[in-house]
Amino acid sequence: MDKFKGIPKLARITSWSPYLLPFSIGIAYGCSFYSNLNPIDLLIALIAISSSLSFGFGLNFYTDQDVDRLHDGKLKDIDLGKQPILSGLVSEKEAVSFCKLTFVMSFLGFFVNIIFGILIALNTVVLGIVYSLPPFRFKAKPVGDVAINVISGSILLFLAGIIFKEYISWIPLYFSHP
Amino acid sequence: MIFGTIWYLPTVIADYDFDKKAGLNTSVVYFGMERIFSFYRILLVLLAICAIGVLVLDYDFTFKLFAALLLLLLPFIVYLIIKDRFIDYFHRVDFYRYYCIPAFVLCAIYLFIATVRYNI
Repeated sequence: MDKFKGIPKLARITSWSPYLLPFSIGIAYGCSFYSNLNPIDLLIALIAISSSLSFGFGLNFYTDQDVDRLHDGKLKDIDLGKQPILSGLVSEKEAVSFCKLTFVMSFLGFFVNIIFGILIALNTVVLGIVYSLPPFRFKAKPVGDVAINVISGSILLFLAGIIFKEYISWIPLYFSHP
Repeated sequence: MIFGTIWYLPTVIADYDFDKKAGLNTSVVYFGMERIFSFYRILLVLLAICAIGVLVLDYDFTFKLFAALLLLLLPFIVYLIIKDRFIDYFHRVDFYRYYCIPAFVLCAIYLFIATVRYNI
């Protein structure tokens, strides 16, 4: 039963909203110049974005175990000193499997359309690998920590929202050209 | 981008002591609290100008709604800074309840707008 509690904590669902908001605004704005959305596309898009964010947060927990141990537990949506890996809710091996699974699932965005898929894949790489993993590890670099989150939330996901539907029709158009 | 920075910086500011102890050279640790706050004030002014611009100029309804919400929120942030309670607030605040839930609600509103516009 603890596993069911551990996975949402590892994905850090409580921190998704600042990233989902630009995407939602992008979609709502995109509606002003095209219509007829397929709800299945929206569902796939949300799964891809959720996976991308889960990968980012999961990897961050995995790479930050030694650092998070020092946290005083004062603020944030969760007590970092008791993050799921440190508290034993999720083992290291399970965390790695979770990261691998969400990494792959984030590429579902390509089923919506190519540009959307590229933007979500970029978000996965930027928010996950570039932010947390050495040698990049931008979270411990001045400006880099803020820049990554701004690039991810305010640019990539916002753009993903805007072009969410637009480019779905250009692929058959492109290939139909002689 | 300005909004994104304004949204994210408080979490970095609030983590200052922890990041310093953990040896993480984040923006706040590197530049210092004073400089970051100066930068933050400039961003708030820029955000106010942009939000007013969005409201006045011919922007889409979705942006106007967001700009209006930001303008409603700005006096509260300015109040916290003027009263020197900004850091204190972000240290004591129930982060999830006052920071993340409102954003989730906004997401739901915008997705609802999208579904209405898309005629789902």
